[in-house]
Amino acid sequence: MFQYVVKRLLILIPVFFGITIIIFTLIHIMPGDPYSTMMDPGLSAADKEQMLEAIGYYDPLPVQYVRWLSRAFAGDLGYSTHYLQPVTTVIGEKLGNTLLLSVSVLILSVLLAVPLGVISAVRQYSALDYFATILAFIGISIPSFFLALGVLKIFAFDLGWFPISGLRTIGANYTGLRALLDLAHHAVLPILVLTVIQMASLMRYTRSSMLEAIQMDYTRTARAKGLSEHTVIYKHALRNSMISVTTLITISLGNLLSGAVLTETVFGWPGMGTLMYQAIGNRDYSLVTACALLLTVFILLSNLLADILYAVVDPRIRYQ
Amino acid sequence: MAEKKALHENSMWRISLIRLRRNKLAMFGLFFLLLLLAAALFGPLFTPFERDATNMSNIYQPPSAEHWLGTDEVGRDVFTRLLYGARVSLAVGFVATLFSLVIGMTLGSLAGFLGGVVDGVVMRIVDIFMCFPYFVIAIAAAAAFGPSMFNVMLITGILTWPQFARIVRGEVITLKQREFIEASRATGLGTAYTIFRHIIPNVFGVIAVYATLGIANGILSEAGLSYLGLGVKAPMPSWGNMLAAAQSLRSLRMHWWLWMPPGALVFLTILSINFLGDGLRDALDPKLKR
Repeated sequence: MFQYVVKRLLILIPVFFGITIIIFTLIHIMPGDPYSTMMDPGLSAADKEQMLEAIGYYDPLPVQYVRWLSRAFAGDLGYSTHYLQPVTTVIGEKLGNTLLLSVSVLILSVLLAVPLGVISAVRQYSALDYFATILAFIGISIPSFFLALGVLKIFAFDLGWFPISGLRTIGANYTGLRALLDLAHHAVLPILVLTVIQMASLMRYTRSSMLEAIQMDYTRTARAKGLSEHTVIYKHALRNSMISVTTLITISLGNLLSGAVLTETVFGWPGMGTLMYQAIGNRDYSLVTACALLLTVFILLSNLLADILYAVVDPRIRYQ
Repeated sequence: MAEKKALHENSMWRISLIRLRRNKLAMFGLFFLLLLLAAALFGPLFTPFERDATNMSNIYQPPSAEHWLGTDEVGRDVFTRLLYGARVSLAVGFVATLFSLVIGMTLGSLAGFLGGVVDGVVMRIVDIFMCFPYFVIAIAAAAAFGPSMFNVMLITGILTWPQFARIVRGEVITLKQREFIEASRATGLGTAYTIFRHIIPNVFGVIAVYATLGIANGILSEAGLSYLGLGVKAPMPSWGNMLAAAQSLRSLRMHWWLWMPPGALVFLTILSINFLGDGLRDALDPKLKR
């Protein structure tokens, strides 16, 4: 097991450097001078050049990359030229909001999708199976932001049941339970949209993984030795099919975070997605780089976690 | 001609076709896509309005007998623009998938066929790309390269090739051990010839399925990027940049005919592609048929 984890970690090293190099290069070919808004407009062109020179703006890209990476390892992701604050401070505030959204969506979608997928498989070709399949196809096919726009128009504008955007009612200054309820009220629509999207693929996957397990020899053996159908399905087949479902859930952690980008911007939810989109508009290089880096590293780690979990629940993997 | 005949004689393809025909959802998907393709190609020839003809005395009109889907903020006919937009969105889907296919198939078959160092390097690159949060990197890249139709195609292609590379590599590794490949190598035929003549045709079925789904991804990518103003630029209409009308809260609330039709079309197109892709997979791969 230990050997397996070490091997996985070693593979991650070149991947990590590749990722950082690509992200860094990409952000630095974006047009525009990010420091123009930070400098005193009264400065002469020569002084500006000198200042840019001093902070290493004209250094070759590889030099800048190494400098950026070594600082990043020390926890310094740069300085936001728009918010005039360290990037870590700016992100810190928003990361919580995105996590709040993602974690709720993850829990909800697992609670809904896994049972639905299992029932769908057990009662293949039943009315419920068809319903779930159609629902899953819709969830897989609808662009998240279009669903978000539709939901926003119907439930926030036309019916007026939910607030249009933001995190809490501005100027209300609620405290305690009222504040919590207010936050929940704002979160309903974004969570609804992301859950529908997230559920779809999870449900399909659970269904096919369960169908596969039901056909296996060990399931037939379990039946043959006279176990009740309930025990066969829920003890033998389900437990085995959950191996790959666990992996998919872990892998989807990262996708969930990045998938929230567009949905967040539609609902004006002040999370990483909205932050990054605005940062691109503001040419806030360090902020964009940091957001992209953070999300990518998160995916990298969730993939690693998935690999390890897979090996924990299925010992066959360790010896391949 | 000879190829066509071979297709008829080849019972595997015939059985697949029969199986596909029986799948109602896949047939619905195929029908909708063909209809859409026809509308995109020939529709604009029949509309009485021009793509960019503005009419400031006739703005924000709701749907009527004259303007089937109303008019936009400068009085252009929404239905007409939707038809032209279909051309752009479909083109992005096709070309992006083509880019993705070319890169993915080349690198994937090289990695699988040659193995060793080449395989190691290609698979690490695949790992890198698989880790990227798709939309985050797409947005950053679109901002870096500037908004344009070609860039959307390119970015989508570059971000999605690893899935093709992975599939092709896997298939090649299994195929490599088969006798006919060994025979081809023993005859002294070159690597490139063996790959293109003997290996690629054998992985065609799997590739077809994923390419179909890839087109859906291209259309989705265009819609998302153009919605954010990072994709196809006005005045050229695309479903994505028509959806951007909903960025204005006033239009989102009052002018549903500006953004709902393009959004619904993106949804229906992707749904049809998924139906068809799923049907193709079941039809081509009897192992998966349950």
